[in-house]
Amino acid sequence: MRTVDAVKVYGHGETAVRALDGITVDMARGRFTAIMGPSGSGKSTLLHCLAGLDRLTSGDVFIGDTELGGLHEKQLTLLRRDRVGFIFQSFNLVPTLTAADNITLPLSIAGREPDPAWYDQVVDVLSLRPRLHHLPKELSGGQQQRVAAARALVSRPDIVFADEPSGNLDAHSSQELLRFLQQAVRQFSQTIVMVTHDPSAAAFADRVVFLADGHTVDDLQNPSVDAILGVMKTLVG
Amino acid sequence: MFKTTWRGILAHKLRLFLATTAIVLGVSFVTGTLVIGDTINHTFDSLFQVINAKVDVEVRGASTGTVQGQAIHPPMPASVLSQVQNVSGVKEAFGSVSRSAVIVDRDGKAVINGGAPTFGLIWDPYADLSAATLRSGSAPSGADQVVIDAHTATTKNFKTGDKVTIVLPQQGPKTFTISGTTGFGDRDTIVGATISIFDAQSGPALLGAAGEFDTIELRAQPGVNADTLRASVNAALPKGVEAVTGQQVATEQSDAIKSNIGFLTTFLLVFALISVFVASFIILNTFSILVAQRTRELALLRCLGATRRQVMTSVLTEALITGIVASLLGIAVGMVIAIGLEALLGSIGLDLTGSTLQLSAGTIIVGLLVGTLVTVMASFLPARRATRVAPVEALRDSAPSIGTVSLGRILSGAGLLAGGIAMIVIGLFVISANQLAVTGAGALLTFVGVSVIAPMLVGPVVRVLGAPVTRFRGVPGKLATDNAQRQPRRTAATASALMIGVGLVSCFSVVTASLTDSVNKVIDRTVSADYILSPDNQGNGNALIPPDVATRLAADTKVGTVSPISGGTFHWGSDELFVQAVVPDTILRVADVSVQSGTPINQLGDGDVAISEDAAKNRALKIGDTVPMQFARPGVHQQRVSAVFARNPLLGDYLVTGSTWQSGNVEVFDILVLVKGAPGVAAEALRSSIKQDLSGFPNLKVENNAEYKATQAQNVNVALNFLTVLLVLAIIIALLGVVNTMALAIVERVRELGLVRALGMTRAQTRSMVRWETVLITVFGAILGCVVGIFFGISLVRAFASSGVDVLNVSVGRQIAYVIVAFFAGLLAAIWPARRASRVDVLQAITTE
Repeated sequence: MRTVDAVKVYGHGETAVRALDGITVDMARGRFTAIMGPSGSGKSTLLHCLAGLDRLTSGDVFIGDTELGGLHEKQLTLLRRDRVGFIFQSFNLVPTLTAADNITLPLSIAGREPDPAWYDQVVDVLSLRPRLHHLPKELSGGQQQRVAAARALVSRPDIVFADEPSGNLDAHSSQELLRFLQQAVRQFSQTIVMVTHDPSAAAFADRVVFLADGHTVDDLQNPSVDAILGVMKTLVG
Repeated sequence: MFKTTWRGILAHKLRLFLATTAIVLGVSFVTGTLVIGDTINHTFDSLFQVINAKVDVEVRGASTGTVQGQAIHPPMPASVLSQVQNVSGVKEAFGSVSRSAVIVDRDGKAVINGGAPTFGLIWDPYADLSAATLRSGSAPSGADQVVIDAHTATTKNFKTGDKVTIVLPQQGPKTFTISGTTGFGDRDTIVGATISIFDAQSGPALLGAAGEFDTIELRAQPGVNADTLRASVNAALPKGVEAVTGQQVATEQSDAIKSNIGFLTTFLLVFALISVFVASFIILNTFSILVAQRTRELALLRCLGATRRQVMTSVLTEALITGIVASLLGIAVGMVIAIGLEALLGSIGLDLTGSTLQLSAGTIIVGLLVGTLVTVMASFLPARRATRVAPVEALRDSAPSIGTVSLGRILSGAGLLAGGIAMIVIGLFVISANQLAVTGAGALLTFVGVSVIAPMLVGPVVRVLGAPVTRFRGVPGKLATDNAQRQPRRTAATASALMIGVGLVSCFSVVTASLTDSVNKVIDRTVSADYILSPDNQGNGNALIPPDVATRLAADTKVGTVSPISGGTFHWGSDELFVQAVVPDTILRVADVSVQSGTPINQLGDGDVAISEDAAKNRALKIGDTVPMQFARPGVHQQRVSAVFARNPLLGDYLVTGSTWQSGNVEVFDILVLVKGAPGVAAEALRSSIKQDLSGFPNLKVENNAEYKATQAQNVNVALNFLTVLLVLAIIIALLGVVNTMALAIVERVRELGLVRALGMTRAQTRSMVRWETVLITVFGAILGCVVGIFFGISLVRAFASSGVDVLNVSVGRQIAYVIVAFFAGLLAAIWPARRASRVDVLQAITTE
């Protein structure tokens, strides 16, 4: 997963905003990368462009050897379906489907069956087994987000994108979820890219990329909360 | 607060458009109907004013009763003319005859414009008493000349000097030379009627009224007042003849026609109200959804300090403004509907061309009131619901909720349903007055009752219908099935609107199919004739068989038996009843009449009447009793009951001889002529011989039993199609409601749609999901409709059992066809919502907070 000189401009003329201003970043396979930055730094835009939800104004995004800019709408949809997993801040489960159906939704859309062993493993690691036949409204926030995480992982995507996954969770649920994401990377070599503004969440990652005004401004390997806070202070100051 | 309301309306143009459409359609049909009703009335008022403008006094036979609200005036002896001519103050007097005479076009077909009359009249020799004004040529002179109306002349390409065949009431077809064409004031004809006018000397005889006049038109000497003349003429008249002013005749004729056609406007108004009823479902549903979607916004207003009353006022004000604007639009569209109705009426013979559409203040007020009241009432419930939500709760809530069905709803629905069914049963089987109103109200209640409990049925029915969809369409199918069930109230309300239109169409199919089967059964069981002769436009009182037909056939050697059946109305006191007249000598050779008691039908005498078992029971009659029968001519016939026969819809309840009927009536026609071949004559040989005998009679059909049955079934289907056309508007409104609900649901589910798109659902799959949800709703509605319709149909058929509809046919084929049509209508209704759903901006959808 990498971008080469990624530029995203919103609007045009005088009012144009360069949300991404030439970002070149490489995210290694089987690693847990966090993207941080203040509001308006372009971190969400970057995530959307990486995930094929939005298109760059110029520059390239690659998932493996596939350049997303060269794909048309349907190919992008199929790419999302088959090679990408999502975890959103606001859970985003389909309210009419049970937890189990929500987990297998991307696979069902593709007309595929989940790998039963993998499915069982994901469900058990996330302690969702007793809640599988409940509707989302019958689940707590933490449980809903774990369902969303299971949904992102069960199809063994090339890469999982998480957009503030712990943003709507209490401290305990948040820790639990992040620990699980970390585990998915360590044990199963899952590639995860997470956008967050929470240093304690970012500390679960193997690497933190800092953005400001559409540029990469810093890059920490194996970060600690303190190290992250340190960088953030320089950004704000 | 008002500013907020106004901004709210403008901010949701799409929602506004959808809500408005339903109101506009409902209002437009009501206005259209009222406009057409006023136009009809205006047309006839002005028409009869024109026709009678020059007549000061009319002399006519005193009424012997009314048929369908129209007074019958029997003819008078021609000698009355000379008596009134001598009355002082009379300037001119002209004896007129008005009978049926059918013009035949160049292709040998009868010229009959739907149900409009075919008048044969006498040319006014003074030229200033009749409304007829020559357009070309000259007045008829001699027994071989005729003047025809300019409308027929133009449409059928006849000119002065051409030959034309006219079927006369008793002599049958005869060829005339057209001496001229005529109009009536600035009209080419009288609302679609064909008119042939004959010379004063030979006319009465040609029209089968030798020695008689139907009316005498008088013109007063200058300075003599019409009322004075009426009084002095009246004094000189023999018994049974009366004089009235021309003005009174105009009023009477116009009123009579209006009351005759009044059923038509009432009938159209019923359909208009059905449309409003359907539209109110859609409006209610639309406002419910709109208010539900705005709950957050309303809650915010509440948090900011708005009172419940203010929120309520805001929602109702929005409804009021929408209602008024939509009603005004509806009135405008109503004029277009009126033009459509005018064309529809033209197709059944009520030609209103040349009349200007009458838009009265009353129509505008009714249109505004109906549209606005329905809209405000429909938004009241959702408005109240919106104000009851605790502000904080509403602000917290984000995902569209999943509805439930309450016990109270089930109970009230069941109550309404039971009440509706009870009223239908009472209306059809118990009471004899106000049947239509009670049954109609019962049907309305039943519809409402079903719609109230329908949310409970959504789950099970949609699960069953959705199973194959899920199976063959995978995830989009499953999501469609789930979505259709997630808000049972909304799905049910949308489907219920469709149920009403489909229910009525389905009910009519049951009735018409049963009617057709019943007619077939009677013909199979009772008619043993080889051929049945019937007029080409049956059900139209003007297309009947001249008696000459039976006479001509009797002379044919290939024909063994000819038995004509005639008949019509008679009065027993104030009751208007129907009697059939048969020829006793021949009837049993072509039809089976099983007599239960008394003498056989072939011994029916001129002073006798045979009655059905039903009549015997209902009127407590036995053999030897007398039935006082008043026909069109003055004088009551005391007929002795000679036989009681088993119920037979072909022959009705009362049976007299053909000669009894002829002696009592003025214009005598046959309704059917049954023919059997002479021994050894093959069927086809007989048919060609009959056709040869009857060449020149354009409006006759020669059919064997099977063909006759097929024609009858076809006539019934024409009626069914006419009703279906009227209900199509209600169904279109309901389908717009489906589009509406789906479009609003998509606005509501933008996040979800974005999510499934983000998770890899293709646009095609998204469209498929919306499409199948829509189809599930329309098919659910059609199934509800068919179930209710079949119930209504069965009730009606049972109620008409004694009138001869004794075979029940629920016409399964048609019912299935309606569900299939609903399926495709669903696909159609889904096109636009599906496209919108698939175009949802994924990024925006999942990042919208």
